[in-house]
Amino acid sequence: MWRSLFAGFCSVGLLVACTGGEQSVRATGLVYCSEGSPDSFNPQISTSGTSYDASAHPLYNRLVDLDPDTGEPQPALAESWTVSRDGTRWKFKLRREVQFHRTAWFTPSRPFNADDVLFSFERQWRPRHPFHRVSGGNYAYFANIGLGELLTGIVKRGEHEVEFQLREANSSFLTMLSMEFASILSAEYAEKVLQAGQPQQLDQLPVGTGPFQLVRYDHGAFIRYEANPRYFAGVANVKRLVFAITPDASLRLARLRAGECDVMAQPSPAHLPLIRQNSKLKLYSQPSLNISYWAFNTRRPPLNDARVRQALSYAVNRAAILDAVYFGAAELAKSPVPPLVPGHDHALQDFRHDPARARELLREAGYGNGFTLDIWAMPVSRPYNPNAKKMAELIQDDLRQIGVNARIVSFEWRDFLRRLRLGEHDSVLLGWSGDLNDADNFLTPLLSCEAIRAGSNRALWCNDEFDNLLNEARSSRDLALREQHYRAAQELFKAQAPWLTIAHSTQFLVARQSIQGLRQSVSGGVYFHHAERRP
Amino acid sequence: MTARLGRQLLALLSTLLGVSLACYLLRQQMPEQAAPSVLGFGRYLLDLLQGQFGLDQNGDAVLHGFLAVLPASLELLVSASLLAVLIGIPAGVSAARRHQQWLDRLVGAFTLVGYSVPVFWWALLLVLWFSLTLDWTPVSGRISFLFDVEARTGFILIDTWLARDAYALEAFLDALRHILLPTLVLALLPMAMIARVTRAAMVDALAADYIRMARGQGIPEWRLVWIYALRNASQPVVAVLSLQLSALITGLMLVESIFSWPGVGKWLLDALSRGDYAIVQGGALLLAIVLVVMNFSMDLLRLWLSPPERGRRR
Repeated sequence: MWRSLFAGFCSVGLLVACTGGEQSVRATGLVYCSEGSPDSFNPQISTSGTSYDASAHPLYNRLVDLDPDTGEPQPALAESWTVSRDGTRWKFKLRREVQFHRTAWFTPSRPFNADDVLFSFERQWRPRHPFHRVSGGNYAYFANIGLGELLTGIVKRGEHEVEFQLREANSSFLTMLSMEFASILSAEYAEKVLQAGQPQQLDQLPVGTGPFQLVRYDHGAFIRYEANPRYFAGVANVKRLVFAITPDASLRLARLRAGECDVMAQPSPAHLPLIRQNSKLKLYSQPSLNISYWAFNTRRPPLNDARVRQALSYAVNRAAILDAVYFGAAELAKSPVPPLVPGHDHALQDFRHDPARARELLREAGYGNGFTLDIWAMPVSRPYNPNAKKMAELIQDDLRQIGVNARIVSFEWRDFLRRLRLGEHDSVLLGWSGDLNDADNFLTPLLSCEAIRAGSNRALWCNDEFDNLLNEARSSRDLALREQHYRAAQELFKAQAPWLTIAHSTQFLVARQSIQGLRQSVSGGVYFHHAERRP
Repeated sequence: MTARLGRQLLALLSTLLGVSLACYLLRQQMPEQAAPSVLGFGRYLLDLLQGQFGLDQNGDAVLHGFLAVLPASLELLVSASLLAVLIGIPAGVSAARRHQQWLDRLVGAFTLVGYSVPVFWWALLLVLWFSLTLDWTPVSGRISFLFDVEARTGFILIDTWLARDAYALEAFLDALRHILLPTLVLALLPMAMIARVTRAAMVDALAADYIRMARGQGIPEWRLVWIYALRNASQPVVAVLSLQLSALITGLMLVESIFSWPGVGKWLLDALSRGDYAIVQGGALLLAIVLVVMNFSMDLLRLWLSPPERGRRR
């Protein structure tokens, strides 16, 4: 019996020892515990950060990239570009000899060229394009950002030269081209799947030019990639990359601690102290481009009165929310535009926590005896708001101080969003993750009159003066003037108080110490191109 | 012997019939189902005989899904049973030979702990120590996500060997590391049970007249203990094991769920949480069938091990 026990312990030792070797799978592979399943592998039709992490970043490239530190546009699939003097014609010289992925489902016969650029944009732009209606035909970002109205033509000037023609000069055009939805897909592959009568395959079995290529996706379990051996910007050090889909944050952390994953997405704020104490783990953080807010339905009395909205804003103790909901991993938001983003108004006056002032405002508005209000709390956890229910409870307590009786309401997530669109709510706790470093990306989709129709303006707030300021900012090429318009817009927003801005949360990523070269994306994802394992 | 076998077979069939009747009645309780009838049950049985256990939410056959996850469960079950037997029997025999000495008491203490410790607590303890503190073993799954092992037999330890690529050994060792903790957890209870029953049976067997006689005839002691006595002591052990089979399956469900082991238990529990009741019903029935058949084979094994029963053949 003792001998067998001894043998048992020895074999444990052997198992532990047998994990090395320079070229072993372990040494050249990397496992990323991701938070959810992608809805497709085509960033043109996806809108979730989870899908971008699984598609846009590893599989595809864009014409230009933004330098993560400076925000300056940099060459990617476009080698260089020139712009006409009036700012309406952009000529891009394309990189030569960029190869598309060679996979089990497609073998490219030619390198990347102008046809691929035309295909990638025209699918989203032209309603008559043969692919426009494939996979739902919903190009949310392309539409939201207004590229459809901005473009007047995309012309092939040569095998490796493309010209974009715009209706008017637009200062954020290059930034738009760096966004995930502007990823370049293979026109040759699209042609092939169309001929085969399987056009939706384009979005499920992807072919791109990026650092990794898809091997297999087991729905809800894992995504397996391998390094693209012909990647134009240098073959990745990681030869096998696997996304282990692990929606439970505790299991993600357990897998990371046991060495089953090397990198994990979105740790729960409650686990942060534990992670900081663990010497084998490294915590990456970055203030992220997001905003969590409490929106008031400005079409419903008494919330149609700005004084009431201001009173509610004064009543809430947001410092307590930052502690209890974000565990300190967020900063107080005073504007919808995060402080990192050009156009943020640093001098903006914020609401302080002042119940006396709140009661005074309510009396002025004729609601001295208070009223009853629904607070809709979203049922899911998002990076910008890890626990909306708890936040709602804290706000409920604060409102009691000023005589307002709040009821907390929640529905199943899809139902929740549908009812919001219909404007059935009094007020709602929600948020937004921006994807580019641009004030317009936070103001237009969330607060413009147009956004009411798109269903993303949760306050149903439409203010012509505000919209005019945004339009002027968008069309001005003078940076100082733009910022001035944005500042004026934010002041107007604050005075009208359609939302109480709550927090900009910090994005976290945890990796084992042995993993180097990771890079966080602004939208919270991660780039693995330069990652490697150090022994 | 034949009559005995026939009786066993008849019992098997009637158990299966009872199980499917229970499943049928349960199924008819669901909304949009007709009231139970003899004809309906007949049709249901006919479907089952043709291997039609229903379709899951995605429209795939439940039987197919079950067969895909069954090997993972069997693998764990076999490895845990092997470990339990390989440690439990020698431990019981050694304890019996040193009756009332310190080794006997040690084995006694160990079996008591094995009986009393709840499976999930023992699992969490091992995970906390081996996985989270020492990082020696993984906490979930059958193999690292990095390995893309083609499922030929469904048994990962065999498949990693069959995949004759340069990384076969690395993949095999990785799979071993994954199966280690679940096996240890699942084996604890049967191990304690086997050690205890073996010890008791061996104490009796070693004191029997035929052993004393054999010893007098100069038969070597190891032969005496490990062949003569153990053979006779093994019958109650097998009896206990077959009684413990369903407890073992329950433990398996729990272990699979704790270690995210992609076997039948996790498959059923995941289906339950998704609300995929076709899987829950069909899967439970299939599981019951497997259990009944296993019990039947255990009975056969016991028959074969029992000399009086075997003797009737002649």
